[in-house]
Amino acid sequence: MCSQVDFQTISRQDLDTANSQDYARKFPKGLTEDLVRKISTDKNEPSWVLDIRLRALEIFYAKPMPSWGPDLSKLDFNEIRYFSRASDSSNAKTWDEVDPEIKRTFERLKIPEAERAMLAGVGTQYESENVYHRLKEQWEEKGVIFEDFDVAIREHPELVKQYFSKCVPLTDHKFAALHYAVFSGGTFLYIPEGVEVTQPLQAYFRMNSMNQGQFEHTLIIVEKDAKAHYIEGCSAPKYGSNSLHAGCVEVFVAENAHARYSSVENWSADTYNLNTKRALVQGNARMEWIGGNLGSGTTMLYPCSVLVGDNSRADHLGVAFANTGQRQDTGAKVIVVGKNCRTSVVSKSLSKGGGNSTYRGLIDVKASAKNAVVNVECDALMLDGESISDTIPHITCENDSASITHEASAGKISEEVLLYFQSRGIDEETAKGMIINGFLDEVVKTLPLEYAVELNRLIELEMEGSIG
Amino acid sequence: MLTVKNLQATLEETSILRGVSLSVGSNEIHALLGPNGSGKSTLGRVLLGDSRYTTTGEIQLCGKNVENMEASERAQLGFFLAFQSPPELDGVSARELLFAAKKSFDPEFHSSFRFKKGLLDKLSQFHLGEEFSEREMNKGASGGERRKMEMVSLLTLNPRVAFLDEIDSGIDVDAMHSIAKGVKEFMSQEGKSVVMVSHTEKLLQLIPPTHCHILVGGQIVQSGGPELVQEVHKNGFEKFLKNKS
Repeated sequence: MCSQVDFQTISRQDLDTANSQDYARKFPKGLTEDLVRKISTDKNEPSWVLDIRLRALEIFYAKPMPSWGPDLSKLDFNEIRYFSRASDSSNAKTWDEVDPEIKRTFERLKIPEAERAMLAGVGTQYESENVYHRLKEQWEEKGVIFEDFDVAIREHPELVKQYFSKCVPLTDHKFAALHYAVFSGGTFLYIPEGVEVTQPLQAYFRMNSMNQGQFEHTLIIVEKDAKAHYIEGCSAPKYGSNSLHAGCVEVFVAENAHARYSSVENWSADTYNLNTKRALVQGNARMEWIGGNLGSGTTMLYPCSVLVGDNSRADHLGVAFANTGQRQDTGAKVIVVGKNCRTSVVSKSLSKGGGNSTYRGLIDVKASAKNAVVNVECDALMLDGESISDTIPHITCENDSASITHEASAGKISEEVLLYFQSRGIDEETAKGMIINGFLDEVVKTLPLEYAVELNRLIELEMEGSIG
Repeated sequence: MLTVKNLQATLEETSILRGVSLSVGSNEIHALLGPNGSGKSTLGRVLLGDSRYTTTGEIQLCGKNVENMEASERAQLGFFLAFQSPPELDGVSARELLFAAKKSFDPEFHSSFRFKKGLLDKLSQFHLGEEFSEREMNKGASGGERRKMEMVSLLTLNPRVAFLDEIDSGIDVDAMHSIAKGVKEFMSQEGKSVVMVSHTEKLLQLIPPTHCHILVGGQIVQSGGPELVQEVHKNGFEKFLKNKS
């Protein structure tokens, strides 16, 4: 029988502590065409991939920085290490083959334990490359492909070529271009027609060394009538010097398929998390995005669903927590093209100790999108008087038959509710924790139990010592 | 069990309690009567330790001075306030709330079959369906349902002193009977006390108080036995208002 994984015992130290990083010297800091070529040669890539990288690099140089959102002026592109290999062996199939120090890191983060208990497959990336990747046999037999993205380029070139960069184009924005120039590692997940993967598949991304950049590419293809749940976890130690995460996730959801993507991103407070995630959703298909954003210094992340097919559906559920010095600029984008599409966006944000949590959303209902039903709900809870919360929704609608609702609430913990908990004997700190968990419950309960516990634990760590 | 001496309370510079003294012993039921705005609910909240009020005077609970204690500490010592308007709790169920409460009394307390079963039994005692255990506490619940949930909480936590703030307002006759039965069940144990704020004759008939106090303008203007309840219900508060002026 499966045992439960106890993420409850993960401490801040487990997340913030770095391993040694002698290997980091092998690739220099800064971004040059030389480096891009070197990454490609090092990975022994086909020339079409190098072409994409070089084109992306040009676009990156040409594109301006975003003129909106959080301040990125302190992000120094020359100080980032864009590629780094921590281990000579990659994509081990058993944990015993993984470098012992790296293995210990993932054990601290409870990944092998979770794999044994409840996952269909696991991939773990350390710096730029995957150190472990395994899919349980029962799914392999059904034709499911779950690979390190670098390996997939070599072993499934036709599939990768057909889909890669077709959902998020190189020209999307400056950081998407940067991503395509230096991308490394990530996940390739292919679910064949009619296959329903009942257990979640997980990837965990860990940045270890100072000024590291991580640019994993995740490509998920869920074919007709298929179903899958992919989970991503991320963390990095704390240095007091900037690191950059500019990942990219592309999801293709074919007719009548169902894809769920869950992520808990808990980068260190030094990290710029500038991430791009998008799904193309065909007829009668459903896409679910569930995201928790904590930890990083600055996050800009707006998972996007393009409802291409008729009767398709997208659900976006997000939790963001901004603590002292942090700016969480997160939200959702939904572009409705097909007829009779439905979408709901639920965003819950917390801010504390002067942190800034902003919901930024875009709903774009095209002229072709008859009878669209869109519901957006943004709730913000500020845990003290100095913290900031903002809601910036953009809605454009070119079809009169659409029904669009937007509800937003922002406030502090109600004194009356707090007193009610206390009247039952529950002390203030515990009560506040329960109120926060309750506030997030609508989103957290959609995660598998183990990850719900983990997210609650991470929030607990953020709350520690906040009562005084 | 509960002794209050010269308790004064102000809220945003408005004086609400102006020297209340009260002594509630074991196995006693005290009815607290008085016109609207006389300070009955404030007394309950100040006894609980609502920090919005500035207070002076003495409050002794189970032999301990509690003036400097937080609300949660007073609750742990044995004080329970049934709220007049219990708030809605987002994303927290009755089971979660009461489990956390139990744990605050006893850190070793573990969720058990017995706890869940006990909660379901208490819900059914008040004609509340099983779903009330798991759904968000008080969310979208009627006034009657909320009051019954206060009773379920009272019986689950089993404090020493229960202050029931209009536990009977706006409820139907069946609810009235089940609540009265619940209060009697609580008082059937040795060493319990109840202070009841009520405007209805019915509840006080079903649960005859041992003592009665009339609170007017933030002061107890008269204390007595059950006969005082009869008098108020016959003649209203007019006499006491006059006495005061």
